[in-house]
Amino acid sequence: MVDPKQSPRHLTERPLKRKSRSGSMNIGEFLFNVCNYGLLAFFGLVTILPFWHVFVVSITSYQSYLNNKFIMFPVDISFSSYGVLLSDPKIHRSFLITVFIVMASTLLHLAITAITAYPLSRSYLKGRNAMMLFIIITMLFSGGLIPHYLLIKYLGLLNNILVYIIPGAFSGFSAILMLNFFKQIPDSLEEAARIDGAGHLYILVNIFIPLSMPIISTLALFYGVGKWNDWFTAVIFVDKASLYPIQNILREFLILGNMDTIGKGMFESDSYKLIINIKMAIIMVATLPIILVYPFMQKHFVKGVLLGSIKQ
Amino acid sequence: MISHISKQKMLYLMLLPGVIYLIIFSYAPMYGIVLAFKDFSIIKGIMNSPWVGMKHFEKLFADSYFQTVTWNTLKISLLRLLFGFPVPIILALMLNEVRKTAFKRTIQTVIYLPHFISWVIIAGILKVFLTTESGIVNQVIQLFGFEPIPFLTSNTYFVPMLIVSDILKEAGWGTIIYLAALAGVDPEQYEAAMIDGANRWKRLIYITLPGISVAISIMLILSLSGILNAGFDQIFNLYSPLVYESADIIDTYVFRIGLLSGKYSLATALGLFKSLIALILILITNKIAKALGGSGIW
Repeated sequence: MVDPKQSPRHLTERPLKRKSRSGSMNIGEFLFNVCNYGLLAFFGLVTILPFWHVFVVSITSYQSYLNNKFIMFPVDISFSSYGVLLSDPKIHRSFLITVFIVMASTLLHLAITAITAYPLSRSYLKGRNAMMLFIIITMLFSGGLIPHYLLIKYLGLLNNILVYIIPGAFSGFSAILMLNFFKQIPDSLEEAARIDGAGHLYILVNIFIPLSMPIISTLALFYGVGKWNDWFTAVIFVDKASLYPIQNILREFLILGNMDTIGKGMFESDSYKLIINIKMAIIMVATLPIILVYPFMQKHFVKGVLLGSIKQ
Repeated sequence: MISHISKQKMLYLMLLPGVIYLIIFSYAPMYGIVLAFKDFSIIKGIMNSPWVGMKHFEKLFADSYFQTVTWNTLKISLLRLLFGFPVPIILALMLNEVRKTAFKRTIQTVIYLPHFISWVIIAGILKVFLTTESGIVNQVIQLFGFEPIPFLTSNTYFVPMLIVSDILKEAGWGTIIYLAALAGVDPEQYEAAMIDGANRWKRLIYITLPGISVAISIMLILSLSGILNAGFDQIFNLYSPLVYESADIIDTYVFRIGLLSGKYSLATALGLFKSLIALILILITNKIAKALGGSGIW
């Protein structure tokens, strides 16, 4: 804000700026704003309309959909496609499996990240640089798909729910973000606790973790969303459909076109016509949880960019 | 040293889970790279399979399909860069000119969202929307009197479809880094320029773009380091044998020859070829990014 005690230059500048912005807006300025707002609104609409259409079709009766395929507002609302999904045990199971995977793997990820980041953030620990190198090498180079596949196979994790949770729980990127956060916590807190006789684990759990909630929630949200969206693990390591997370059920149904994955026996006589609505409903089921946590993620976006851009 | 270790025993113990993780899940697969130089058979295992030297690499480089997938990978990546790279910059510049906060926030919320939705879901939506018989996009095209376009099955349209859908999904998210850079441009410069009568265009050329040029060059360099990643998630969920000719990339080919055809050694060799080039690219680009004044990746 403008400090009244600031140099006179500032005082003469302010009114000038205001005038040019709103007071006498010339025609060029006006046209620029129309184009700018218009184009941004257009880009926003192109982004959101497909999802909106999916949502509308998912709650519309099949008959109304046939009458107007460009439907953009729900008429003749019908939840029958959600009814089909809800009564399908495969959908139940995969939804529950996915929720379990997200929660268990995020917890494990946070625990192992915090416990590794803590010692690495202590400047007096000898051998820190060697350990950092040990971590960074794994961020730069990997064995690739086939050796990874064989490893999982030798570990007996094929067709095992643990394959979603255990491999990948430790990531160098998360550890480095967390240890940089730990470094900002004043050393005096650790020293005081040490003098009082507290052990390192106690200090980590009772002092560092409560003070690091901003980075912990960022990591949890981004890792959790990544797990919710993970479909590749099941494609390579799981061929039992009973262990499929929701993304893979959707993949079978929408992308590979295996209709019998869902609603087997539901499609008697004319109810097979529900197919397009069911497709849209299952997209909604897989997307809604993301949309629900989305508002909570917004304040973590800038850190999330860091996480995402270095992960690629 | 020994006394230090015994004194800090607990700290070293705390490193143990991470070390064990890295050894099992990162370093053990690196040992698996020897497969590329062996004729792997499941029965004999990695250790006892016979060494064959560079046989798989020779076979690979002599194969014309290897050239196809390498060319496709580079082609798709470069097209993404050419058309996709400027979009977030332009969007960020446009958002930066918006004075109505509510409008700006709404647009940001909307255009960031698709980044968090998986390619499986987006590909599912695209498949429903783009089919030639009943897809809504082709219905609109027919409404205007044109022939339906086989986006998903034609080698002409598949790659442009990849690029456009990727821009719609990721360009909004890409603005964040530029908006942060734009917020760092000193507002006094604009005020001074306005007093001197610089119009919007001149301010863009002489103040805004120089102000975010470091961010732009770092992002460009980082995307160059990923040039061999042509978008496995997207392509794998959208492609079919009909478009292999234009859109089969190294990653999808490794997946098919390795996990579907079971040619483990050949696929490992191709994977190794890719990881080595990627490693070199990352090391070079990170150096350049640091020289430009960015912090690099580490």
